[in-house]
Parts: sequence; structure tokens; C-alpha cells
Amino acid sequence: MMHDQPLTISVLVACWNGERYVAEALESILRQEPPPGEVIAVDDGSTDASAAVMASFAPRVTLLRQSNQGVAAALDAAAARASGEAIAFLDADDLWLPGKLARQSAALAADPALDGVFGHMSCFASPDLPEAERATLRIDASAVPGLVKGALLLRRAAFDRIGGFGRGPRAADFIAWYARAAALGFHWRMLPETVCLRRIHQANMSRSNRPQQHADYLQVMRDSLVRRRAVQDRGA
Amino acid sequence: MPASLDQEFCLPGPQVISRDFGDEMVVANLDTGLFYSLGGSAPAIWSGLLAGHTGRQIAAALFGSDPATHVTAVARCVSELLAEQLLIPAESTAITAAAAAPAAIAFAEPSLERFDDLQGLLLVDPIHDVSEAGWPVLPPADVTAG
Repeated sequence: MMHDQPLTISVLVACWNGERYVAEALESILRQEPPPGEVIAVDDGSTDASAAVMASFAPRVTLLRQSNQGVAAALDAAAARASGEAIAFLDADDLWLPGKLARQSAALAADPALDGVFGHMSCFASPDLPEAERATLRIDASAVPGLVKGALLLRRAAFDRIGGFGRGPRAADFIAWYARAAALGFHWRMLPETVCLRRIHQANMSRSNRPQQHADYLQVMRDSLVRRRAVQDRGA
Repeated sequence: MPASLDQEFCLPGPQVISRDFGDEMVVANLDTGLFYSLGGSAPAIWSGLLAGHTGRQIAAALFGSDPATHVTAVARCVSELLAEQLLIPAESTAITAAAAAPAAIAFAEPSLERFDDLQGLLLVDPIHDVSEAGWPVLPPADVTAG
């Protein structure tokens, strides 16, 4: 059953030292047709000009500022201010493609049982990546199912039921959120269209704290196993 | 696979990661997006293998009281780890001499369970496919100008 009124949408952006790319990210949000009801951008304690860049988008973008607490805490702070019936997320260095919100909003409106809608995503080399560096990279530009925050449109009610991102390990916040969501019965579908582009640039190329990231991944898996056993024990 | 009892093993690469949670070892292969729970004596076997011991050495050192039963169980566990591509045969035997014998523990039937419910997320996450240098890097021969 189609609803007569489209869902109102809040878009949440967390930015830490993203002065170089955040304007493009915000423009890709504001170019959506129809545009979202509100865009809330959080400057997560940047030491560069990110806050000024985002402030230049007022009043179309509401800027929040906080000390550096990480992406998850920044998005949770933005969600606390969001008023839309659905929420979407975009990293400050990534881009949405035209039609992202319209397609996903239509999919959500068409099926009240859906909590969220993902779309496909692909990677691209940031134009500012030095050519010599880009030539050494193997970047697969083909579209893949985008089980990432930036490719999701989520009902607000589902977010409230599942909880925010800040409860997970810092380096695996979305995987932890998804695992918790799945345990709570998270109903989603994957659109075949590409909705989000992930930028490969020098800052995300270097992964200086991989041991911590791996430890966080394994903690998420462990938590998932503990939850699974608790459910099994209750059913026994 | 009895022959593997006298073989030494190592990780196939940085894509296989593990963490000991006391009552279980969680192992993940970031290339496949699968993760595993090692239970019973499997965590001790896993740790022993990564320390450079052979399956036979582990069976004797860990569970010395009933070698025949325990050797079979260790061999089965090693075979499962190999089948899941969580280990590969080591080329060098140099580790063994330096590795201390694993401490003896009570035997419990090793178990390995496989899970795929986070596969889609792990495969799409860029961390899984980066080398130590960062994002996937082409072999030098494939790098061309322009």
C-alpha cells in the first residue's frame, strides 16, 4: 500500500577534519529531489576549517559542534536532534548519487513492514589523490551491496528500537549496530541501484590502528555469539 | 589427515585474525567474511599451532594422559582449521625450537562453529582488503604510467 505523504527525512553527517570534502558531500545531499526535510551536520572537534565550511550551508544545514568523540557519538548527537520519520547518514568524505533518497523513501513507503532500505555502493579515487599514488591502487569501482551507513535509509522508529551507534566498539560501530539490529529483528531490503560513492583518499588509505580495529571486529563477533546463546538458552 | 600431526602451521595472511575470550576463541577470515567460535580444547590447540607446535606435540603436552584419543581429536581439529583456510602449512620449522611447550590443561572435545551472519558487512568494509600499506596495492608489474 502506498502512502499519500512521503516520509519526512533527516540526514545526519559527522565530520572530523573533512574540510576538503564535506562541501561536496553536503551538496550531494541537498541536490536530492525532493530534498530532505533537514540536514544536521556535526563537527566532531575538527582542527581544520570543517565547521566553517559546514556553517556556510546554513540555513539548509544545521551545524552542531562537539569535542572529538568519534563518528558514532557524533551521529547519535545528531539523531537526538533529528525530527524526521526516517533518517539517513553520510560520511563527510563520501557522496550520494541523485535519486538516492527518492528511491529509498518510495521503497519504505511501499512496505510498512520494512525498517530500512539499503542500496548498492561503489568506490572512486578522489581526484586529489596524486597520480603516482593512484596508479598503485587497485580500486574496484563495481557496485556492491552497500551494507554501510551511507547507503541506508532507516525508519526513525527502528533507530529508536535498536539504539544508537555509540554503544558499539569505536572501530566497528556500524557492524556492532547491525548485529544488534539483526538480533532484534531488523527488516531491510537492498535496492539494485547504486546510491552511495565511497571516496578513496589519502586519509582513509592509511590504517594506522588496525590491531584495534581487528580487536573491535572480534568483540562484535563475540557479542553476537553471546546474544545468540542467550536467545537459545531462553528458548530451551 | 594424520600426516598433518607432524606438520607445523601458520596463518595464511593478515586476513585471519583471532582473539581469546577465555571461554572461547573467536577467529575471523576478513577475506571471506566468515567468523568462527573455537570451543572445548580448540583454543588451546589453535594457540599451540600458532606458537609453532605440531599437533602431535600439542596432544602430548596438553593432554598427555590418553594420547591415542587426544591425538585423534587434535588431528580432527587441525583438519577442520585447514579446511576452513584458517591455517596453512608452515614452510619453516624454525619456530619449534624456540617455542615453549604449551601448558597442560584438561581435555575437552574441540569444537569449531562457523557463522556467516556478518559476512555482507565484513566484505564491504574497506578494512578487510587493505594491505599494511593501506588500500589494495597493485603488484609493481601492473603499475603503468598515465
